Amino acid sequence: MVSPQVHFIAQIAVFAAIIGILTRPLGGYLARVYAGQHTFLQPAIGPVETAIYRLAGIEPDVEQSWYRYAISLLLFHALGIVCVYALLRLQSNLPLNPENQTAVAPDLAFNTAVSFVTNTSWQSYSGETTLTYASQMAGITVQSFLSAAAGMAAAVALIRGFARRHASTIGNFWVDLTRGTLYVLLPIGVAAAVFLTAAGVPQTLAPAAEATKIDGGPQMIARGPVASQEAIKLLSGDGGGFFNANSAHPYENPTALTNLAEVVLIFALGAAMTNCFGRMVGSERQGWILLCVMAILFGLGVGGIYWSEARSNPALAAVNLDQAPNPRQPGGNMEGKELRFGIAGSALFAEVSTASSDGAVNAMHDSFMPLSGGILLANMMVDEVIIGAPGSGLYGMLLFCIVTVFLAGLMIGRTPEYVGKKIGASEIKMTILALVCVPAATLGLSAVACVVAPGLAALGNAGPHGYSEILYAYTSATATNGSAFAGLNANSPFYNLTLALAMLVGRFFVIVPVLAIAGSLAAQPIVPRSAGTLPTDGALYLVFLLGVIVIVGGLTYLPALALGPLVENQQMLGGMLY
Amino acid sequence: MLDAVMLTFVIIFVVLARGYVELCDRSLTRHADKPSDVARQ
Repeated sequence: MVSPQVHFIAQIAVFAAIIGILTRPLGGYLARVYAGQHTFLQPAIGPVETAIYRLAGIEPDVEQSWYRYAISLLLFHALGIVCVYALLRLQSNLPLNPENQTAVAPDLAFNTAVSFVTNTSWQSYSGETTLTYASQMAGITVQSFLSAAAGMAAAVALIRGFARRHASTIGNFWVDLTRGTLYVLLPIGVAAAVFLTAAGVPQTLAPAAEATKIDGGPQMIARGPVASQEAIKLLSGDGGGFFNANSAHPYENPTALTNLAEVVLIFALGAAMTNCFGRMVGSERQGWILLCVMAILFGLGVGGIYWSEARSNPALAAVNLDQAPNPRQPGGNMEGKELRFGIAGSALFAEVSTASSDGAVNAMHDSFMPLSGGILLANMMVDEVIIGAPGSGLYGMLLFCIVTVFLAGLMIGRTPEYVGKKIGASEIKMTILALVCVPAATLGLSAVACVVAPGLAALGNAGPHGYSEILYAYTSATATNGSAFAGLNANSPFYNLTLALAMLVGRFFVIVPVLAIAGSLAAQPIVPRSAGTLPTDGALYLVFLLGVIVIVGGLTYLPALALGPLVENQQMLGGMLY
Repeated sequence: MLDAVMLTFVIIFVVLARGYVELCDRSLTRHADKPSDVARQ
């Protein structure tokens, strides 16, 4: 029998190797796409792109100021919310409804529309019992493409801010949105959907299959156009599952191979964006530094989760329950986990899912040990800069880069610079605004939910675990992650509306300052590197950046984490479970 | 009735977001109008 630790390390090594191999070619491809250069897909997609511009009245050569870019992005998202809301409310009257689903309730439809338009994919509903195939395909899946493309567009706009000199524009939002969707997300999404279908994921418009159980009774087995939604769910950092059980469901994630493919899909574009950044600012090394920081944080997180889950639960050991690995069981804490993935596959998926902005799950996070739950929360609390979603992960990390050079500049008495741009008061103000909005919304709304009756009525557990459920929900919403701790019945008007508010703040109150920084930086000249410049492509800066991420995250959220997972862990060691 | 309430939320969001963009723009413009700390150095 291969030891569980060897199995875990092998999985991490294979996963890291695949991401490492994909990063450079994919990053180069992204840089070509967003520079408007010719790619190998041009002959097939070019005519479609031109037709879209003509139909929509877009002039691809006319660029926008940051202000117009931001307004375009906001209006596009507002229109998306209205369209998805209308689709969910009218779904019972539309075709592709073999299970005769009724209209979605107004508060749930609003929450779901906001959730998918903001790339969060928080789901207060069970997909297979709530949505029609039309809603899944035209609502959820379409928004997965568009929200990811919008996030990538915002990140590319920020990169242009660093790369340009004396420029009054940062690109054209409509062109970036179109090219990101057509040249990046669509081809990879189609290829991934074909792979998943071949691996056993259903792709059909047929109604649920009827089977006969062993006791002779009937059983309805839900299915539908799963593979096409699954592919973009992972690639986009969206994470909204076709089924309630998400990637723990055998029709979304049938084997260990699909599990590996799914975590690769979640990280691939986010990792490649760092290389795209390096190429566009003229130094790939800058991108590799960011990826190294992300990799270190990822390694610490996945190692911590595995250690926490693989060791036995002391409360269960006290009643002589066998939790040691043997040929018949993987050992450790297997509650809420799928046997086909085990602890290694579940720990890897959970870390990838919360470190990125994806939020897909292949195990129930509510059943993880308290310290693992704390790590999952911490991943989201650092603004998902550990790869993150395509685009939003990179611009989140670049915000921390700006804070780092600012703090380093204060320490050594130099004007802060980053990749040739001076970081002034306006950039720092916008950065702090973006970084403060998220914790303010997370902690403020969590505090409200902890004291009002509708907030407490939804809890599935008492004590610190119940508090963690509330904290996790709002952290997931503001970080546009969308994963749930489970245990919390969030389908109530209170949670549907407050979580929608959290998602809107988490997405747009960050994107707008990011675009403002892009506009401010683009107007500046590029400052030549001098003896007084802090090198941002070396080990010293890497350590600075790591420290800033950990300290800023720690200072902001440590008290909240202490009240939840840390207290629960201590109580578990004392024999008290929730 | 509830649909109108939800639509109102979207309109409020658009108005607030527009105001937020204006706020950021004014902040940047204010800094651009006067020499910044960086420029003085």
